[in-house]
Amino acid sequence: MKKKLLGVLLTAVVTTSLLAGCGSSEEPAAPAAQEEPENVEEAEEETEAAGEVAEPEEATEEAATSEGIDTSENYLEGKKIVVLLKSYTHMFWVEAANEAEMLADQYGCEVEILAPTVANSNEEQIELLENSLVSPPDLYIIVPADSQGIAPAIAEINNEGIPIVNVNTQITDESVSYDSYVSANQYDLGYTTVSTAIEKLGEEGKAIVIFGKPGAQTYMERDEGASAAFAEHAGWEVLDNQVANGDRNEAMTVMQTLMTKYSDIDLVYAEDGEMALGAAEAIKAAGKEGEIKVVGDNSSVEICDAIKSGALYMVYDDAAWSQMETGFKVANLVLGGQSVEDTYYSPIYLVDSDNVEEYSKRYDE
Amino acid sequence: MKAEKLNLKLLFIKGSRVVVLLVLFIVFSVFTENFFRFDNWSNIGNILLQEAPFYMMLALAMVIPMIVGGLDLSVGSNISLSSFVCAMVIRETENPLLAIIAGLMVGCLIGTLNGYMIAKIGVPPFVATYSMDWIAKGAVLVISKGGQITGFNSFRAIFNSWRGTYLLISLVFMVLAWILYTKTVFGKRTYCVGCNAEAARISGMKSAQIRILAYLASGFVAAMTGMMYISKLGAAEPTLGGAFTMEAIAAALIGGASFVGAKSKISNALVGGLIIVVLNNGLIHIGVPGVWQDCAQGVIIIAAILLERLLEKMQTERS
Repeated sequence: MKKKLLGVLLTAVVTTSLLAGCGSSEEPAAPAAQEEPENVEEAEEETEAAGEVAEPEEATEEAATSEGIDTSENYLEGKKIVVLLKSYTHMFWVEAANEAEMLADQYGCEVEILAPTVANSNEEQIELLENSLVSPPDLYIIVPADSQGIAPAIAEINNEGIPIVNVNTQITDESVSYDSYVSANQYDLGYTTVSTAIEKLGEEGKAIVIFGKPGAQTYMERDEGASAAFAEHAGWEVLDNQVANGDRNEAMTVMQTLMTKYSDIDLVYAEDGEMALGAAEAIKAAGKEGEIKVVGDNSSVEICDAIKSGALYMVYDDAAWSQMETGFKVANLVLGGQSVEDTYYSPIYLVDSDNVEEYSKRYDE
Repeated sequence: MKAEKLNLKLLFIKGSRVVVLLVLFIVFSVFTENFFRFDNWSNIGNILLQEAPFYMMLALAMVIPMIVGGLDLSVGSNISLSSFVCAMVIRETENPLLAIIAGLMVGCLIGTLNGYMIAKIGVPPFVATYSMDWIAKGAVLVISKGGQITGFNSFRAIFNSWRGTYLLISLVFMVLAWILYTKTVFGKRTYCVGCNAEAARISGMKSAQIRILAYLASGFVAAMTGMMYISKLGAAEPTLGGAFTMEAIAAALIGGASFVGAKSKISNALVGGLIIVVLNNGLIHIGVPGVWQDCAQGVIIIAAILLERLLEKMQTERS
């Protein structure tokens, strides 16, 4: 009997752990808590303006932005930079890698791009950084998969005295240091996306939120921003907030179920582009395209195509290329011995039917 | 009369997973507004036509190697690679049939290599299929360069022109697998090999060949599942399949399959797939917040398994 009970429990535990482990995300994740937007009205005005022009415009600005960085001198020329990314399998990071190579050409520096073969593998990232110290670069641009877990490798780099620009996901272990942190403001991203959608759709409606991944700081901040935006509009009701782990397939399945639960949905806010595409596909399959508007964050060729076709209503892009561009600008200052801010926020960009043709041209380059 | 009673009890024990499925179905139907209503079958249609076929296929791809006492940890990456190859062929040739054949061949090749390593070289199934998982993951990364392939409308039309296509495909696969493994000499030999491969070999059965064929079949089912997925999503991407192996194992175990050879049945895949889907769907309908769902799923699965074992025990004691 005991053996049998043990067997039952073991099966249950294995099954539970398997299910708990289901779902993965390669979405850029986890900057630590950032400041809320300082001037929401100003951000909204700029957002509106961005939708009216063909050229992509910045939607928000913070105290330390990439625009304020002095790039008159090139201190990167002839230097070697190691860029560590989270993966090679997500379009966001492929775009970041491409941008880094292009920027290296522009600045005349050598760049080595590293990324784990298993997306978001902290262990592999540590190994890659340790190996890179055999022939140390002049500066590191680091996107850690784990805010705390990367600390052992950062400590080794600190010991070597090599400067670090931390991009996208903030290193939060206080025992190690970096020179500056660069990212889009994720709270602002969620807030602005939802605010803009509400401005366009009117003061009343019913919405669904598709959450990225529980525990991932990026998604949590976007979610907080979106919740704040919904809370400001009493006419809007959030019907449900369901997890899809940053996965297109999961988002599609969740949306299919939610459409059977709620007959009246006006807006879906998906916390990243992949999930937005999944939700849009479910809506299309149900024949409700156009009836339910899907908005999200991030951009890619496919997302632009979906906006062109009307499957997606609009997105805000926290732009991998923009974060990398800002990272290189800050790296230039660091190697030039200039003073740098603790944090720089890279711009976010509205992509909708008005400017998608223009915006998507960057993917042709 | 007594014999009839015993048969009923036996049927009840045998069908205890179905009882779990029914209990879940009834609970969600009673406590939610739209999970199931006699005047509104949209969610049941959604479950049966859009969700269950995929989980049933995933579970089937796992149950077949489990019959011969193994497992296949490369199911997810097989889905990823075979579906991406399929999408590449469509992009290059615009020939959906050729693309399907190419995708299925990739799946079969992965399955055969798994089977060969396990049955001929003697590599433990965990190591062989785990290694293959890495190889397939790496391969899809190399050929995709991290990018996606989208569009392929002519291919999607094959699967999406009728809403019941996914269910039909999965049921056809289930029925064929059930016939193959329960109604044929080959199937009986497969169970013999699963029970004791060495004894089966000594009694003249081609033990190694039978195990290789089990992994080949698993690869074939996985590849087909991959094609169903990219057709459903409208995109082939290297990240597809990341969680599928674990989902396949979970569905198979919940359905009653066992890692002990010859203890698993094809019907375990059917029931396990359905239980997972009903659970996922029902939790959303009942209003469990997204962040609590993993936890709620775990608790319900443990409760379901304990309930099932309790029923079994009660029936055994009475008989």
